[in-house]
Amino acid sequence: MNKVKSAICLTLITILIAGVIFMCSAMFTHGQAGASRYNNIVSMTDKDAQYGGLTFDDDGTDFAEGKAEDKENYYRGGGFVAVYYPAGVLSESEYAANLAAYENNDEQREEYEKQYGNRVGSLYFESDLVEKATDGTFTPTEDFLADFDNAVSQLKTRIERLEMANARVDLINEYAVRVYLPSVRARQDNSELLTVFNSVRRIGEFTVSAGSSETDATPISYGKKEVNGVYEDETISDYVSGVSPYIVGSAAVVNVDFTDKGQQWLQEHTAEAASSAVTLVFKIGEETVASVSTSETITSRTVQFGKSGGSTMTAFSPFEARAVAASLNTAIRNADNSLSFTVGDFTFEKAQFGDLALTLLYIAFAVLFVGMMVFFFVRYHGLAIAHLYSFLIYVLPMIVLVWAIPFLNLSVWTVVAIALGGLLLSVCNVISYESARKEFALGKTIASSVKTGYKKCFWLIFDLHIAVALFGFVTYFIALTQLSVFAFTLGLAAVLSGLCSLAVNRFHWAMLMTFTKKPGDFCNFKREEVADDE
Amino acid sequence: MSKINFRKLLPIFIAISCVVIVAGIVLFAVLGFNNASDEPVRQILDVRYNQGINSAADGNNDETLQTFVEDTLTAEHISYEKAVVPEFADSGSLLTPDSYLVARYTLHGADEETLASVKDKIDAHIRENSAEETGIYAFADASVSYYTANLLGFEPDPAAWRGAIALAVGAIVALAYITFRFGVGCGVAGLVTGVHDAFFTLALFAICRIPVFGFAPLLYAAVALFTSAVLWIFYGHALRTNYKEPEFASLPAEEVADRTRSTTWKQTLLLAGLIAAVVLILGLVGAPGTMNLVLPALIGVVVPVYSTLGIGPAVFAAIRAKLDKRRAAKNRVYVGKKKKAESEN
Repeated sequence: MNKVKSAICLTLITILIAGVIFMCSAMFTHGQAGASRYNNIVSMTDKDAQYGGLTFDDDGTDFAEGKAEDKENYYRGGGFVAVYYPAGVLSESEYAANLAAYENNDEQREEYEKQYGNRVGSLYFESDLVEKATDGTFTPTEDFLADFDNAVSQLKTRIERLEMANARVDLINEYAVRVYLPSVRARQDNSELLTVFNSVRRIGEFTVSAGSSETDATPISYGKKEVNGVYEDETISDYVSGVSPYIVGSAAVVNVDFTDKGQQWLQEHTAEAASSAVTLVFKIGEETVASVSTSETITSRTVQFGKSGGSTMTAFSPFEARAVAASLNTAIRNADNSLSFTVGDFTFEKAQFGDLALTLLYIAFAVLFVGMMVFFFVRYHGLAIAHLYSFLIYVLPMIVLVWAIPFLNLSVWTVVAIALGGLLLSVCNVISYESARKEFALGKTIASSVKTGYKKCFWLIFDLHIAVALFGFVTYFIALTQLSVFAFTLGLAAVLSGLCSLAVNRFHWAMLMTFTKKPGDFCNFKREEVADDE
Repeated sequence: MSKINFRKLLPIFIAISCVVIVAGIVLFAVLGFNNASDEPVRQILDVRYNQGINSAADGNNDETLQTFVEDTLTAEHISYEKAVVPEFADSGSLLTPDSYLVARYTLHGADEETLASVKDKIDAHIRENSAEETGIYAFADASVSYYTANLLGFEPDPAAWRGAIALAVGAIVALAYITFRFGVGCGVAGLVTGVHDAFFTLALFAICRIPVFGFAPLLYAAVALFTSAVLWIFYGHALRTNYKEPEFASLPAEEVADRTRSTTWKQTLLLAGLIAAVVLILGLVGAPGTMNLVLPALIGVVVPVYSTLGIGPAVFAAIRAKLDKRRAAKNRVYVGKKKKAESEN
């Protein structure tokens, strides 16, 4: 490659890199009176909710001051907490507020106190749910305790099946449950979380009904079945085999799979659907999860439904579909529980690692970058520019890919994986430079040194990257949550690092060599001194 | 490093590893990991008020209330972390908060009795200052409550067991590639060191009771496997280069393994040092929580150094010696007594 071609090529690559750096980091308002805002790739990347970002609005007020979140707002991390109380159990503040409402009516106040003033710990129980001990204290009934334990177990299973990193379920005051779900994604509303919070709290029997309308729908009437010569009552599990999310890209529906018997029931009850539409209603306890209207006889085993919104039905997000499916699935197996949860309050919870966690993470990455470049400039002088190009061509696509791939998010483990990939690239570049340095010392030309140097270390670099990429991608396919994100990012980093080390770095090295007349000095390579016998 | 006789130390290495791993497995079975970073038991004091709190007097009454709460907690020697968070109407969206805010104090070192007394004091303070027209909280709806939150762990945690299987399969596939490239001896020895490193790292967490987040140990095992694979590939590559040299071809496997180690130990330490530096900087410069999360990964970087320099080469030598012996036996050809005698003469 001659000097002119190298200059053109290098200029084009530099412009490209500058463009991507701009896309990744710049943020500004534009349009009339700054009505539009350009958001950079880093700001749009999904982030781990444990890491807080900038929490202030444009006008300097904090979201925590009760201000409605601006959609143009910066990422703030954190998540939402819902406290669930079993029906008939009140928090201290709710009990006090309800009692205050009867301030001017002693009779009603007394009545209310009699019904709800049964204190257990710091909670107030409805009289049906407690027994009075001889010392005047109240304890929950055994039926309540059994139902509560079962309900908590169902709730826990549902949250577990969301496969959501950092989700947390706590038991508070012994008889209430606190659920924390991290923010779903940056810069978008959390309506998904609201669906999930409302979905996972439903406890009770799962019923399927059919009729001309939701109100007229009649549930499956269970008969008897023979099990080992004994007749038992049928349950919903004899009609519905399971419920699962069906995800296509960012949209999802919920599949309700019927058994043979269920399919027969479905066909019978939708036989007249062509003449008069039939509504299928899916309920947990008394609450409707979905109602589906059909004007055709259903002959398949599967019924799909999405999110009901007024008269129309829209697709769930994958996250919502998983939550609804998990709720229905656990309800199939726990038909006898009559307890239901009510939401006490929703609060925002700040990011666990603080509001500056992301900024500090970026600073840490910058420190590593500066340290790396100082080493390369000291050791290899001008050749450090080739490494700089290959590193930027590695790290910028990594940033873009973390943004573009839906299941990746920006967390400390993503940064660790990117940094380890960067380290692999730096080490491999050092190996190739050192290999060429040895050849150059023997008296070869720089072109020959590079060629022979790369030839000698090619398989070491290749093996390193292939082994790490295999480890990363195979682990990703099996693992869940943070480990899968770390593994996939590591695999991706290994692939890009390999390409940059074996191709990009060498290409830039060749281009840079055309600009210097003293390649040895440029690369800080020295010839071996040969002792003169004379 | 080259003066240390690793072959003689092998039984000691094996003994140390066995003791640590077995003790780790036992402690993990009995106590699990120390998930203190997850704060399995949290005491939380919530001071809830609406935005009407600032309508009376000088308008900074929320701060006055918070200062009173903090002074009361400090007087009772209770340390805390504070966050003021908005509350949302349960029927609304999670985008627009309602008019209530919660000053949430996560407490450390408070007993039930002290907490009850703190609550009474705050309640009394709110009552005293809620008199109509004159009280600073006259237009506020303020209340205080506290609770203990006990974390309900996911058992068996699907992320944990699937993660463990994922790491095992990932390591096996990566080392299958190493076997394909560097031969059976190197591949099996690499697998042994990888598995050893993952278990040894996890065992150290179980034994030393290092506080970790529930999800983190598998990530530390992943870092250990990554480091182990990288260090072992460098060793394997040097080994293969050495075997190509005529002077090494006739040497016993133990000798080759030892000589390779003595030429690569600096490289091993340097590489591990660089990985450690990356982890250290990301941990130290990061937020306090990041530090607790990332710094324990250093154990996953140090353990592979021990196995790459100590156990791995010895295991490789043992396997290679057996393979060489078997190969020699296979290549031996019967020439008959007469011909043998002739050739000897």
